[in-house]
Amino acid sequence: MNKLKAIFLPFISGILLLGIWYSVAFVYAKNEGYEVQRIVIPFPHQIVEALWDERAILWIATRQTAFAALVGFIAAVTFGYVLSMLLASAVWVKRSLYPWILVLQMTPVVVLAPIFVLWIGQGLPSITAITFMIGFFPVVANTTMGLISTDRNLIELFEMSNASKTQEIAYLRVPYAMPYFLTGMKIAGTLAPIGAIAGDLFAGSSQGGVGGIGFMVILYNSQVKVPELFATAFVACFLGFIFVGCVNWLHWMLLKNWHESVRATDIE
Amino acid sequence: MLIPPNPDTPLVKIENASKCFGDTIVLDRINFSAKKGDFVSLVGPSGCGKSTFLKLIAGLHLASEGSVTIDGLDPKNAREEMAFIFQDANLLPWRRVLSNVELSSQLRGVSKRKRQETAREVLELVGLSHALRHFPWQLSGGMKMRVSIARALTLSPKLLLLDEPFGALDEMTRDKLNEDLLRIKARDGWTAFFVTHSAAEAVFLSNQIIVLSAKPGRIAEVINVKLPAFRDADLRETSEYLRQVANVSRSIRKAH
Repeated sequence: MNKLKAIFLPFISGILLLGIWYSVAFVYAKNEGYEVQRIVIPFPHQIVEALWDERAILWIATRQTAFAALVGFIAAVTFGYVLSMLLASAVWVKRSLYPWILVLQMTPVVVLAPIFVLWIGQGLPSITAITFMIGFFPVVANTTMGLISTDRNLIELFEMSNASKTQEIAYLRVPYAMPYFLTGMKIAGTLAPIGAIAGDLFAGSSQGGVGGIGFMVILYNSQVKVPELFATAFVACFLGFIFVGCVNWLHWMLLKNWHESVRATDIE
Repeated sequence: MLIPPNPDTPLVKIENASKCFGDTIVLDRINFSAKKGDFVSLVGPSGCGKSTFLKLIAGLHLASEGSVTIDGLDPKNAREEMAFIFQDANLLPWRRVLSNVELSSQLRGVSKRKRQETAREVLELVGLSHALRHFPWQLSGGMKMRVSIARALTLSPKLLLLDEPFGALDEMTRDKLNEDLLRIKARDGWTAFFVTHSAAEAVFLSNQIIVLSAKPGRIAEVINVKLPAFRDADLRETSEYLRQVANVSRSIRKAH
């Protein structure tokens, strides 16, 4: 019954929203004419048409953005984890580095974007670097927190077994920090497609064919192709869902057995 | 150089040991010795340093003055011979019961086959053979504590340090675990230090009870429990047992 509701209710509200959209567009068209309406508030079916007509070019753009997002995301997660380990290894390391990491984090990446372009040039390298910068800090902040907040009693338990530092890291700190790390990774995963598109807006180029999704936004905007812009938004949304979906799945797979955050129901 | 063991040497020897945290004296000039096979309970008002006492023996805290030795060794060098059972069961939530019990021997580099064998054995001993594949969250408080006890037993310790292990459990579960603990002790013959708030629990388990006074923690009294060595649930109904519990309770009140 609840499952039925979960599918049925969004379906109804979706139909309703579509209806509202059509009526507003229709009223607008009656007042301003269909030509103006098309470039201000296109009918949903016009957006679908645009999506179909532009499918080839949008597919290439999506692939490029997805690639940049994935590379930036993997780099952010990997380097974020390594830096967290370093920060958690000794108090003096964290004391000396963390304030500067915070300073860097507080600087909006969009402000840094032109500098990246200046340094490493237009195109994929800059886009990836911007994606990396956006996803990096949530990973570092969360993972470091997990690594240093390990339960005091568990550390004493390891001490009682004369565990080596390596054993303590491998069998205690790393698994203990896993939920924290995965939370950071989820945030990075949500930000990665956004970062790749934002990076594309600054550093995108059509060298060798077409640019990414951000580049298409600039292009369609300059040509006043509004239904195409909506179609691009739809594609970007879809990409975001896929990204977040994959990361959430990973989160669930790694923690399903033991962590409160994903344990849906008790077995007993 | 090997010194032959002397049967009269106490297993745990605490000489003039004090512990300060900053300016606060938590334990003040403690002197106490325990022979092999003793079951010593530590009771006293909260904040009297019972846990600190235990952690001094474990070498988790270092004495600010005086000395603590286990079998003539510094506690840190005697870890092989002891096991610590913590206030909450302190299990790794990402490990199943069996591999939680294996942890101590795994950290000491025991081979996988050997440590699994031992883990199964001790889990049988604490009555958890049916729950090997469970995760800690699937267990009740009492079962978790049984896993924790099993983990402590895997390395056949000579000295067991228990930091108020049953404090969070309901009375029935606690009584049952007390009985099981004595049953296992009769089999293995280890020596134990046991921190508790409960006079009844202390009397039931121990042959000696240390009553600590608070601020600073000093030994107010050492009570010898004169009850038969073999004890089971029936003991709790005897008048002699009840009299001794009342005696210990009075002593704790006086130590305030």
